[in-house]
Amino acid sequence: MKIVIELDSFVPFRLPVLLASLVLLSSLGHAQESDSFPPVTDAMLQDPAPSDWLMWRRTLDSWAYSPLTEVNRDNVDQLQMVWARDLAVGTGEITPLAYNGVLFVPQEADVIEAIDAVTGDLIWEYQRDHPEDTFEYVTRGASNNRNIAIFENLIINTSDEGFVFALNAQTGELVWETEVFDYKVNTGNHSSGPIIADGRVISGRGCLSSPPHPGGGPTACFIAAHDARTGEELWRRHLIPKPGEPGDETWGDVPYERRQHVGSWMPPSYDSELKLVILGTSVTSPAPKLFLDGNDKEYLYHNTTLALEVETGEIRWYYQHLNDNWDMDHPFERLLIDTAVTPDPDEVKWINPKLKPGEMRKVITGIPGKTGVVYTLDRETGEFLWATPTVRQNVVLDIDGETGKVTANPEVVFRENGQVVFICPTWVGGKDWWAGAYSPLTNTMYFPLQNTCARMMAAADVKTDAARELSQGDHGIAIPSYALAVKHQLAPDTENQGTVRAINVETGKTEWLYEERAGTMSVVATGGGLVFGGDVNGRFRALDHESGEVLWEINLGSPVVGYPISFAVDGKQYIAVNTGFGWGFVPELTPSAGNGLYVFALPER
Amino acid sequence: MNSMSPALASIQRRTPKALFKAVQIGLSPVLASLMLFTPLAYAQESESFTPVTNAMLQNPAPGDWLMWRRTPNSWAYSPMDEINRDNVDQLRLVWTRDLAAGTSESSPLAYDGVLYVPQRSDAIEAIDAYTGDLIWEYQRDNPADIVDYVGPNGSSNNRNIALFENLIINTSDDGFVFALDAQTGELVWETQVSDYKINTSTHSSGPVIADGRVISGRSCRSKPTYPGGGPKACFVAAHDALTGEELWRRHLIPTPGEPGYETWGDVPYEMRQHVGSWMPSSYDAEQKLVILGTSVTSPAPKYFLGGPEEDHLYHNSTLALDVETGAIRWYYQHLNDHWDLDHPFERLLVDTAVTPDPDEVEWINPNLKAGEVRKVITGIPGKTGVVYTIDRETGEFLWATPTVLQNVISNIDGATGEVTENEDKIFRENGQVEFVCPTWSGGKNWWTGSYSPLTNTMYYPLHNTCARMMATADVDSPAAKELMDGGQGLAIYSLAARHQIAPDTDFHGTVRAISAETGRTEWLFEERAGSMSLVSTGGGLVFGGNLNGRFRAFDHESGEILWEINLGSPVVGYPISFALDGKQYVAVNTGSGGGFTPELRPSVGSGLYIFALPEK
Repeated sequence: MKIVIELDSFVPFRLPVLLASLVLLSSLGHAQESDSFPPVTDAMLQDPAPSDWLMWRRTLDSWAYSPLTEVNRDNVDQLQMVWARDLAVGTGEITPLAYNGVLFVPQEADVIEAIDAVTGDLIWEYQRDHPEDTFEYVTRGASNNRNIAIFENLIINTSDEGFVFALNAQTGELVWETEVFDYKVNTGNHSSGPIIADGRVISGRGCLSSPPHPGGGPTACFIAAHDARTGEELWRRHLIPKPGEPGDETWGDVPYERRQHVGSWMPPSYDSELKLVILGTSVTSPAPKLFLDGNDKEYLYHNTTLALEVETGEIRWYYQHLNDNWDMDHPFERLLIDTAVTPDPDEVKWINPKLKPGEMRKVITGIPGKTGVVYTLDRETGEFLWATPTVRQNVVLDIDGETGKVTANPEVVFRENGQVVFICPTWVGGKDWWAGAYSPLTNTMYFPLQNTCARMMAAADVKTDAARELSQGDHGIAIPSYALAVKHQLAPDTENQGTVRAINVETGKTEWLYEERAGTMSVVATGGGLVFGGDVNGRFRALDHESGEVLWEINLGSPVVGYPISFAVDGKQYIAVNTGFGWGFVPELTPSAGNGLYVFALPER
Repeated sequence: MNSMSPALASIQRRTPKALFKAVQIGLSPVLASLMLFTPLAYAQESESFTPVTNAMLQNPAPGDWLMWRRTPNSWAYSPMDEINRDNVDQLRLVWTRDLAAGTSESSPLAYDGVLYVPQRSDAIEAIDAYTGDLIWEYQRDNPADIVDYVGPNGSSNNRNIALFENLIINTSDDGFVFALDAQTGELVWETQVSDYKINTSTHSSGPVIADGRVISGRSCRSKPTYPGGGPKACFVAAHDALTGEELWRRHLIPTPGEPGYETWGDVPYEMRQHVGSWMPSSYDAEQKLVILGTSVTSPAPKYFLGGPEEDHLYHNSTLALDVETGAIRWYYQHLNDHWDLDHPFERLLVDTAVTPDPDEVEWINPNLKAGEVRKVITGIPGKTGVVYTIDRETGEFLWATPTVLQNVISNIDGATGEVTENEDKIFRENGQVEFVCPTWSGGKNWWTGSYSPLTNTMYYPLHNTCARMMATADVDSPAAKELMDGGQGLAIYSLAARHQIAPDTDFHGTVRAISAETGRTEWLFEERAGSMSLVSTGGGLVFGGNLNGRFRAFDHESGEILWEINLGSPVVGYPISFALDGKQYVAVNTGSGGGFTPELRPSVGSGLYIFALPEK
């Protein structure tokens, strides 16, 4: 008789020996790394090793670009899954961090797990003990946990019940926590987590409005900076001007306490040279300005890009993208790029006439809002450079190239209660929380965008017969806090909900357009000339960054709603992505519903 | 607004019974790519559906997996050899799909390019085996109170389904046998077999097809622990597979006047309960015999029934039933069971030379002629882990031998096959505590072995477990609670237990290769995590997973691991192998499962994973 023993799994005692098994299951180099933990410095965050994925979009410029080249256009067809692990049940809009052979994985409702990146085995897990009534106040949307931050030996996150907190990255133990709001009073919602800017934890949040929610108000809406080592609050920047502050006047006669819901619910970017935190904001509540003080007011700082001094939170400049009547938030990732700026008049709709073709500028570019419009601004001054639509949109009528002033389409601006307009995109985007990527190899940005529209009603009371009739049935919904009732749909004249658009950062030209029936999700670009991204029908694939051709694809069953990343352990490149819950206007596609993390690599030689 | 808003509630995400159709409008690269991933041949195949005949069930095409253990002899052997010992290290994931959350002790069927996947609470999905896309899903509309009657376990497991002609056939939690159109998932017929509120039974497993008959077993509840139950709840039934008409039912507790009625002593008929058959049967088409096994009684300690000297038939027995009538041709009782050591597991039907090796086999029939070829039933029928080989035509005992540590059987008389229980472990009074190996989780349990004709060897996942176990009329008594602290008490069995890994080992899991001819252990694989179900293949491989998420391929001759992947969650599904257009695939699913190894922390989730070699 032959006795075969799997030494890898032989663990005679409890926890301490788990480490021994991890050592055996991992290559030796990796095991040595995990025993020590080189602290993550600001310098590393600002210029990470190619192997690392240390923040939401990997770098502070929000490129979501991994320079790794082992997996490339020639060999990506051999990519295979190396391990999988189920995650906590939830939306699955999450981003792992990869460092030192470990994946740190944020999950639903402030769950965080540290997972051995090579074996898929759990190292530690953290589960926050929320008050039972938390989600009655912060809403279920807060249970999203899109990203976490890492600094020195700390994993840092915002919590559903209003804290910023830090865990020991090696043990998962709580190191510090600081309350930033009382979730019953100044109710915010932390669907995304923080980034680290020069040792500061920069956290944004959505903010609720009261009524209809029990908590909310203008002081619920702010960006905060905390000392990453101690949790001490350094400053907070309210996103609705306080009485007497500049911008206070832009709300007209609306009483201060009724100025609500201008949140920043996606993570900012950071320019460490200019010392600027760059972030975007959401719509007001209610959304139609006729229910506030009319369409001629700006209601700062809603749907705006804000450039904040990292040391004080002072506003260096701001740019408002849209006076928003339709819940067309503008909080999404800002790409920070130094590029020649030569917008092509044949493809770019709005151009600053003062621009000299080919001049190098430090810009903010990308698609900051749900409309799908690309905006390129000067990063130092906020000067408007150019903008152009992508997916069908009918909310921005014109942008004055010289001033950057945006004119909304008067045909869809609500003038009276009960008015119904046909609006494109609808409030699910266009663009939404799913993120694009930028590759310096092509000076091109890649954006997943959806073709959607809606019949939308401004409804002071969403329970009227007319509002109910509009919003009943499939794809219909009414949201009292926005005073809007809608029926969503696929955009007319297309059968494709999903697109991935490659847009040249210098010229604004669409280099290629990938279209498909299923909604497309977040992407990552790599040094191997690939753009990885999934869709809500479970497909995860690699596109050629120059042609958009699909070079590899696999069906993961459930909507690929996670933010894909690429990382390396011991020099070997991996791709990781997770699934979760998705949606769409394509009922014949019937993916499964589940939360799994999948890690891919090339076969061993 | 914040992203995952209430808006989602209204957006239709899934539409059942909608077939994927490539949209020809809006020309785009993806349409081309989807076409590439779906071979043309498949689209043609799915339009027609070749009915599955009895001949096909008894001798399936190599690429098909048409029943629980693939063939009526329960071998779980796929003859395909494209994936073999030389290339299995290249095996890779082709697609995955999440399944309904649950225990996920489920076994897909593979036929004609489609996987039919039973899931918890009578959910069944048909999934395109090429792409992983859903073709149809069926969700039975069970009464809301069902769990109150059949228990959570009974309503959540759905281990297997059957396929006959164009029908997918299953048993339901609410006491029906039912058939769906395999192409559409629409209900074709259903027949009630038991009123779930009265003769309450539990359909954790599904049926097999034997010569056009749906053979279904079930566990049966007992009163007063459950509101329904009684002796009539315990039976094996045969239904016409085309119509659902009931053909016969064989009660597993003799009715008054039947042979065996006397083996319960003075126990009133209505208190004779819980002798179920909760795993699928095997079938010998030549002998026309349905071969099945049964469970323990309720309560388990015979002290609480007619006393340890009574047999309490047909508990913990192998029964050979005439397929046409359900009449018992013979039976063999494996254990007079005081410890919930059920014997309902897969019986392997093998024609083999029988030469038990006296150095390794503990109990041998002295009348055996070494090397004679016999039609046998072999394998490990019960939780004790004891291998029994008996003659398939007569039930004659041939040989038996323990595998994992067991202390409940002290002897088997080789000449008669009569089993003597360990006197020290038989409960004689209420409150008595004994150290019993294995405990009631097994040894063996619902996770299954496999037999390869290439090696004439059977492969079994077995667990090293024991328990301090108390016979107790009241599992809520202070003494029982003290014993159970962190353990388990089951009122239905009048038992309380503190489970543990067997002494002198740190390995919960083992896979044991046992020669069907000699009874010798050819190799033994041991690991910390509990080992799960296996499939053997013509490529010289034994595929199986464990409770720590690992799924792997063993060399069938050496037990060496040739390939392994971590699927995260316990690999509790029954792996299968099948072919699409001649290309071999391996499928397995994950679910939830526990062990005795707290340092191993797999995730919890139910996913179906399909593997194949890379395209050339």
